[in-house]
Amino acid sequence: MILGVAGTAKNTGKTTAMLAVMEYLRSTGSSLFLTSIGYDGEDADNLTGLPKPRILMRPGDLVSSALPALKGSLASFEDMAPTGVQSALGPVYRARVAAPGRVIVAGPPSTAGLSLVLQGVPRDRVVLLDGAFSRLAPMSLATHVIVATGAARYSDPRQVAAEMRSIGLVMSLPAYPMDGTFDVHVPGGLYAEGQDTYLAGVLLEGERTIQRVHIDGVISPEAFGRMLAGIRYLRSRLTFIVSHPVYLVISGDISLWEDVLEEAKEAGHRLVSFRSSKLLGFTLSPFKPLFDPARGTYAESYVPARSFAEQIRKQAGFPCTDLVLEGPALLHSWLATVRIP
Amino acid sequence: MDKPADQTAKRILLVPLDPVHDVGIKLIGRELSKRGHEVSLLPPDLSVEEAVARANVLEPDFLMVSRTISYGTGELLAKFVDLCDASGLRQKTTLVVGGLSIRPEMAQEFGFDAGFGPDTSPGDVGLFVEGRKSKVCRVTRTAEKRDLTHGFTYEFKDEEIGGLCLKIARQLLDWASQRTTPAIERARTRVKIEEAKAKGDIGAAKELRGFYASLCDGQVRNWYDTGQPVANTRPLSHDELRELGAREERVPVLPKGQEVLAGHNVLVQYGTGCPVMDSYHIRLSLAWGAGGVVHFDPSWGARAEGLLEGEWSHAHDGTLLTLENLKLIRGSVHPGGLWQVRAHRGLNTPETVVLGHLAGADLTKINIVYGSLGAGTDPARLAVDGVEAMRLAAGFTLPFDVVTNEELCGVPASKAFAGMLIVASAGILLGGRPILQPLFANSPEAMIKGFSEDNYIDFNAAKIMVLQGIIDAPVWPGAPVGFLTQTQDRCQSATMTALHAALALSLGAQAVTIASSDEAYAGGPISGGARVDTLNSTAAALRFLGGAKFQPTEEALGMAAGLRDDILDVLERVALREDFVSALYEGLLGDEEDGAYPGRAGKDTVRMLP
Repeated sequence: MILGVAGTAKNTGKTTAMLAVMEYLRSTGSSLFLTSIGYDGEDADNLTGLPKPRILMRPGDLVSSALPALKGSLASFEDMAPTGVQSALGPVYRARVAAPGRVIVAGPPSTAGLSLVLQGVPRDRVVLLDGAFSRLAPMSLATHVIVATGAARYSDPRQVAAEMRSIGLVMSLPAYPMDGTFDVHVPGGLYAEGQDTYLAGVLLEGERTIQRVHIDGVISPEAFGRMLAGIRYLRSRLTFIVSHPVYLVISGDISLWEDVLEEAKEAGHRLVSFRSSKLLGFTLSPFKPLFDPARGTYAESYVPARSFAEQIRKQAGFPCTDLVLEGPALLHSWLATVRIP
Repeated sequence: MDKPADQTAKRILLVPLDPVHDVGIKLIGRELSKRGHEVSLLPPDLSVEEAVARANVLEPDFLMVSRTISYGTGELLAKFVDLCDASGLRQKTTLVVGGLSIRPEMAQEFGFDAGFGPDTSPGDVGLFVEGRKSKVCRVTRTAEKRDLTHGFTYEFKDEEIGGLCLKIARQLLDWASQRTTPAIERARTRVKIEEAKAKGDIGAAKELRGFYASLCDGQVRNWYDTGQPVANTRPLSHDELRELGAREERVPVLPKGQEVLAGHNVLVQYGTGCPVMDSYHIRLSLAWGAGGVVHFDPSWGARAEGLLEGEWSHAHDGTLLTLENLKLIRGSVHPGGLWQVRAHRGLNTPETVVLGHLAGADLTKINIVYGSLGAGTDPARLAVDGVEAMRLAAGFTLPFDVVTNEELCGVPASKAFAGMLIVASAGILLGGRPILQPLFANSPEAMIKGFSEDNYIDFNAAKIMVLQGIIDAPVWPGAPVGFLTQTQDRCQSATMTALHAALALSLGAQAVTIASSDEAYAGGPISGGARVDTLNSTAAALRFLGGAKFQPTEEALGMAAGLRDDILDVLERVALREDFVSALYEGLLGDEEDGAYPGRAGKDTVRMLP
């Protein structure tokens, strides 16, 4: 099991969510392997300078982090071994926690690097994949995902909810068999200018023969929507196969997907995915760092937590919780549905 | 770690994500082209999607992004990396980010393979591309605590002066060995109290505490008897204790430009009265490159018999000397930082050495001469206590500096140095490791005799020269350097401090103590900004100097020779007196005309041993 904790932006409470997940997994006696695609566990945020939650690891936990970060951690480690992956801070190592303490986690930054690191993980371990910023691509390796969002993304709960609905819909795309065939392979994704026009042209030309289209790579809702508009007179009904739903939430305005998916459905087309990660739910945070441009500094601030969460819950349509306001019970109930090794 | 160089030409794509071209990326591009690589430069102000789409067509070996970090740009860069990853570009291309604000930790968080900041030259980028230099970054520094006395033999090179110093020192030790004071008894009792506590023998500790209290006086005694706090003090609150937090275990990474301080021992002084505030000052100073910190206790404590217990805040300058306060403060000093607890004046010097040792201090400060002629303690009292303090310091392997701030009163350097050498000799005979502490200042003597009329280098250099010619011992100018050369202008003050510090270190001093830029004249709170001023300036001065030296004029040699002869003259007169303590009272090491007055605190409290 690989559980990813991703965020829609910085300071949306990823680390807090991850710590709540760790607490649950420890309570079930699970053995942990922790890594990050970014940099986490430090005293103060690199960009905002605001305090961050600390990550405490216990003896027996496995962690993968850049060597200088391991050396800078307060926990002590044994069985340290290089993974062969490099990061901006240096070589990424795998290590077992020997004495408990705070850990700085700075793991493989790319999907390929993460894949290499995960190869060495014992099968009885639950892998916790700590996200960074709003980076999502490496989450394509996760079997389950929790997405942290909140006021740091949008202070308007309606915008947060709209984006959550889109993410939820995208992450719920039906599965397409991994060995399934397709008629057209679009290797470069569908996000840059001109790609939509090109693809629409290909599909119109091949109307009689094309039914299944594999768009391999990043897809933005704007480009997909323009492509749909370009084939609106197509008589055939197409199945668009994406590589993984996360590639749909990397470019463009994610909240547009709700409408774009509806347009595709009305036109009779389907969107499916080769691989997917199960979205367990969203965590919400009312925290919103305020930037003072005159001083160039950040200060802590919060939107009213209860009303923020309630408004989002009414509109999001997907499970969500504010861990600080409501406690971890709901998050734990999501985890209870997962088969944990 | 060096990797084998890759000689093949690389294809490099430069992507300025700023709205306009920046000079930095062009310089890097030029360097890389010069090295034979194929460099392409995208126009500025492309969207992330456009840039990635173009990069996917070109498929470079390296993609280098430049971007000024400001509000919201972190998200932009993270999105860029995500797009590169998801589009497959990442599998073929190394992603690098550069900019004035970029640090390796940021590059890691954004997801880049490397990050280049303002200290990266175009040549460094070239080496990285060619695989000649790994960009391995240390998140923390590892620092070992330095022994300032390491390698010194304490042998006198000037046998004439050395012979006199040792003779006088032996007389002093012999005299002191026949005497005791309440301070010595309290110090021994304190050791027993802590031993009893460590064994869990609460009854014994309580009894010993009662005996300790009987040896105290005034408000300190009153506190032990009634619990009433000493005036202007209060116990630290639970919140304040929590604020002090956990022990500092990590050596901070120095800011850009301050790295030069890591190779020197530049110490600063603290003593706000409040351990919490002290903690901020200590952490700030060490984070900006100070190699250590020096504890200042309240001046009234020098006149009180006995030390308090517990965690206390003091409403005026100086933080109370209690074991608990010291332990709290010690937690703010990282493993590589030096920490000094001073025991150079007052009625509690032996116990101060004990507390410093128990709390984990690395150094102390002892000088019978300055403490009695310039800091108010009775000479006889401080002579007995000072010898015991040195004995304890030797037993604890705690080096101590011998300060000569009486020069500020007007005592000429020759007398101050004579006193310093005598005390240091006594320390050596007791097995201790003294550090000579000449004062770098525009002292009254320097002003009167015109030594500082032309420059502030000659007289200070002469001091170092003469000491280095007399004995093989470490030298640590302070405390702090630059007295009476600073004005209320922060720039001027910081500059003067920096120049004096650089002079001291370039002359071979093992350490130097500096003040903040407002300390010389503040008369009030010392600010964090002022501390950073002088640490910044000192680092800049040391960087400016590098391996070069200051060049004293020929006058310095004459000053050094004259100083040596004057020291000899003073020592001969003290030796002739055959009574070091009487020599102090009679002004042989500084008299009223010099501005030195024997202290009165502790007068008539010395007892003969049975």
